[in-house]
Amino acid sequence: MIAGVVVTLADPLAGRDGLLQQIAAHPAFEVGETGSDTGRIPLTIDVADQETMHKATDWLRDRDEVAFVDVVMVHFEDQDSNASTTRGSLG
Amino acid sequence: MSPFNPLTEAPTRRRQFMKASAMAAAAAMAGGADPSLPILNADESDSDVQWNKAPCRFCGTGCHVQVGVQDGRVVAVAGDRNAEVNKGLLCVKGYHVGAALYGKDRLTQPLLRKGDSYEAISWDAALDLIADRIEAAPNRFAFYGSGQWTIPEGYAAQKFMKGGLANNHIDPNARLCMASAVTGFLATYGVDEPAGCYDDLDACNVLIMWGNNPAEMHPVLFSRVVDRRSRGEKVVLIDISTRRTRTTESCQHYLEMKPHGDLAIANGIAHLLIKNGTYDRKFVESFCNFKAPDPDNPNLHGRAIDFEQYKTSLEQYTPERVEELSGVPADKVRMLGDLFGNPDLRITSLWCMGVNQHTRGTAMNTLLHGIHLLSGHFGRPGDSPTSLTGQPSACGTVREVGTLAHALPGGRVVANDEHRQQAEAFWNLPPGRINPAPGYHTVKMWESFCTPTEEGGDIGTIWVQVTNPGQTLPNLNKLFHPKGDAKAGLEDKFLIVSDVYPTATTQLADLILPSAMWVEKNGVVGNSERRTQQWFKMVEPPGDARDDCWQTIAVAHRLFKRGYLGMRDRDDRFLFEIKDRTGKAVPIWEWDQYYTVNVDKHLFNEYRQFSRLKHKDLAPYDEYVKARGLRWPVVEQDGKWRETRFRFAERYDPYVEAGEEIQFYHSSTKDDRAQIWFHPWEPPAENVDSEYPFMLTTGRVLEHWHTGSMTRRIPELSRAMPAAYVELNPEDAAELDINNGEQVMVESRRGSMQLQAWIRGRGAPPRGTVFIPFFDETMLVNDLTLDALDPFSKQPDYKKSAVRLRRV
Repeated sequence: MIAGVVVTLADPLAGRDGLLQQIAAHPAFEVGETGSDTGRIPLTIDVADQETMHKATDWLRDRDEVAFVDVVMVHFEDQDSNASTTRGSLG
Repeated sequence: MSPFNPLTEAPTRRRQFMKASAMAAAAAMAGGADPSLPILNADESDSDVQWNKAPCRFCGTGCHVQVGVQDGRVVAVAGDRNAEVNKGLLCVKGYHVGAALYGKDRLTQPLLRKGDSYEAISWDAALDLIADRIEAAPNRFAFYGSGQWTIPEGYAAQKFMKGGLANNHIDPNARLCMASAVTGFLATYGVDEPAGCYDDLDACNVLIMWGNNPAEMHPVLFSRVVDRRSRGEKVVLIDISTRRTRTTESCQHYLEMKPHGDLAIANGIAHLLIKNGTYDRKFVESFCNFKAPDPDNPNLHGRAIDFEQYKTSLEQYTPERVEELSGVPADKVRMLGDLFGNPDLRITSLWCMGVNQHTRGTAMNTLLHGIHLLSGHFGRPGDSPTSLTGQPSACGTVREVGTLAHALPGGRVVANDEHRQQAEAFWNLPPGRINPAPGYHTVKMWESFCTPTEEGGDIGTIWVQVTNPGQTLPNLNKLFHPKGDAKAGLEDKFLIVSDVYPTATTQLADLILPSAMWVEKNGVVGNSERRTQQWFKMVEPPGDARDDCWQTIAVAHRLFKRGYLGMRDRDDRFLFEIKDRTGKAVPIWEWDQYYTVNVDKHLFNEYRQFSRLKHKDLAPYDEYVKARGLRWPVVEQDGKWRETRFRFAERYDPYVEAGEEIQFYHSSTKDDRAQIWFHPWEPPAENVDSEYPFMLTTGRVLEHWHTGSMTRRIPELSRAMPAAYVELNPEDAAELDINNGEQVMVESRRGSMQLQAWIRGRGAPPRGTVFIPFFDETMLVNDLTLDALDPFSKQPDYKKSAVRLRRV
C-alpha cells in the first residue's frame, strides 16, 4: 500500500533537521524534495498492509515536531477491497 | 536530493509509478516540487494507469479528484491541484472515494420480491413491470430522487414525469436538507442560490457558522479558512451552535444557544444595528425593501412594511431578551451586533442543516440574509450570506433542474402558465401537457404511500433512485416502515428502488434495480457555489448494473412502444429521441447502444436552454469537459465563456446594468431590490418536558457520508467510525448512572432505539441535549425524529425531538 502525505511542521524554524533524520531512518518513508524554508515536507509511505500504514502515520503524528499529517493520495489497490462491514439487507 | 520527475524518469513498473505519483502529488502539495503534479500528465508516461478528473462522489463541496484507472478498475485517487475548490486537498472520505465502488455486496442484477426473498429477473422483465405499474395508474405513480442524481439523470426524470406523464409527483431527498434555503433565497432575492462563492472564505475577516459544523461536514472548505490563520492572517471564527463540535475547537468564540435561539440572535443583531445607527443606510435605501409574514395569506411574498414598522417589530429583541430566548449572553449578542455594524470588516455567514432542518427554516434563512443586507455586508468578496449543501448536486440537479414537486427546470414553476408554456416549447410537447397543480412534496408523498388506498393514500407506486429514504425520512414508523408491515393494508403498494448497494430502503422494496455509480457512468453535477462539474465514465459497472438515466429512458421507451401518448412529443417522436451525426435516431433505450452517443451531452445541452430563462446561464457541455467546473451564470464574453463569482454586484455579474452597483434583477417586488424580512422568534415544534426531558439532535460525522451506504463499505472509514452512538453530557450521564460505552435506550413519542453512550467524545452537548448520527443503517435514529415541517419549504426538523434516556 502506498500513500503520498504532507507533513506540516509545528514550527518551520525548529526541529526540522532532527525530524528529517528520524524519518530517513524509518524504512517505510521516502522524503521528497522540499525547500529548507518551508514548513511542509512531502513523503511517501510504502508498506505491506493497512495496519502498518496506520502505524506509520501514527508514528509521524506522534513526533513533537509534527503539527499535521495530510494524506494527499492513497493507492488502495493492494488492500482488501472486498471487505464490507455493512450487514446485507436482502434477507 | 533531486526532485523526482515521473515524466523524465518514466518508471515502467506500476508500483514504482504509483509511488512516484504519490510523491509527486505530495511534493506538489507541499509546494516544493517543480514541475507541478506530473501525475496529471500520466498519459505521456509509460504507465498503464490512466488518470482523469471527476468531482468527489460525496458531499456538496465539489472537490475534484484525479482518478487513476488500470485494467478496468479504479486503482488510485489523488486530490486535484488544478481544482479551485480543493486545490489538491481532500478530506478523509475523498481520499477513499474510489473504494466506494468495490464493496463486496454491490447489486448486480434486477431482483423481484417473492414473499420474503428475492428472485433475479431480466432487465426486460423489470422494465415491463414498471411500465405495467405506470400504465395501470399513471397518476398514482411517484418518482423520488435526490441531490445525488446527476444533472442529466434528474433532467430525464423531470421530463419523464412532468413532460411525459403530466404528473408532478416527483421530489428529491433534498427536500429534507435544503428546501428552506431555497425558500429563503426566493423570499429575499426572488431567485435561488448563493450570491457569493467559496472565494468568500479566502477574503472574509469574520466567519460565522450558524448551527454548522464544517470541520466535519465540509472539511476542505473549513481548512481553507484555518489555513489562512496558520499563515498568520487574522480571521475571527464564531460558532453559534447547540453543541460543541470539532468546528468549535478552531473558533475564537463559541456561542451556545438553545434550540431556535438563532431566530432571536438574528433579530437581536438587526435590532442593535438600527438602535446603534450602524446599519448601512445607503445600501438599505438604495437596494432593499422590508417584509413581514402575512398571517392571512402565508406565502413567500409576505406583506410590505416600512422601515419604521420593521424597527418597531425588532424593539423587543434587546440583548437581554435575546439572552432569555437563546441562552447566548447579552454581551455576546452585542459583540455580534458590533461586528456587523463595522463596515471595515468582511463577514461571511455559513449555514447548512442547522438552519434548514428547522420548522422556522425559511424564516431563519431570510433573517440571515436580512442582517447581511441591513449591515451592507453583501456584494464584496468576503461579505456574503452563504448556505452550503450536503449532496454533490443538490444545487445542480434539485434546485437548477428543479426536480421538486412544484418546479420546472431553470427556476420555473408548474403553477405559472407562461413557465409551463416555455417548458412545453423546449420539450416540443402539445400545449397543455404539463399539469399546473404541484405534486406531493416528500413527506406528503411517503405519507400517502404508507396510507391504505381506501383511506386516501393515493400514491400506489414509488420509484426511488440514488437515495435511501428508508433511513433518512423523519418519523420512519409513520412514513416508511408501514410498507413492511403485513397488517398495514398496503398490499397494493409497490416500491421500486434503484441503488448500488442493499440499504434500509431496498429491504422493503418490491423491485430492486442495480445501478452504476460515480465514474462507472458519465455525469454532470452542481455544487454549493453554483459550480457545474463534468466527468466521463472511466470503468464498467459490475454485473448487470446500469445507469439510472438509462433506466428512466428505457421505461419511457417501453411506454412509448406501448402507445402511451405522453411519451410522444407534438411530432409523435419519442421524448428522448437522440440522433446521430447522420440524423438517424439512436436506440439509446437499448443498453448496448446507450454509450454509442453521449446521452449526457445531449440532455445537458437541451436542458441548457432553460438555464438562460432566469440568468442561471450554463455554457455548452464541451466547456465543462475542459474545466474543473464553472460557476453560473456562465456568459460568453469576448469569445470566451466566463463564470461569475459574485452575483448582483456590478463589478462581477455581467447581468448587473452599468452604474447600478448592486442590482437584484430578479426582485420579487420588480424594483431590483432585495427583501429584508422580519420574522418573530417562535419555539420549536416539540420541546422537552418532564416525560421527555432531553432534546435530540441528529447529523453526520466526518468519516461517513449521508446514510453510510457507501462509506460504511470502505474499510478504513468503517473501522474509524464503526457504529452510531448517543453523545451525552457527562453530568447528565452521571445523573442517569450511564457510563461510557454502556447501552442506552433512547425513546421519543414516535419510536425507540438502543445504542451505546459516548461521553466526552468528539462533540460536547450541553446538559439536556443528546446527539445521534444518522449514518448507521443498523440503528435508525429517524425512528425517533419528528415530522413537523417548515410551513413554506415543507422541510422537516431533524434537530429538535424530545426524548428520554435510560441505561439498559
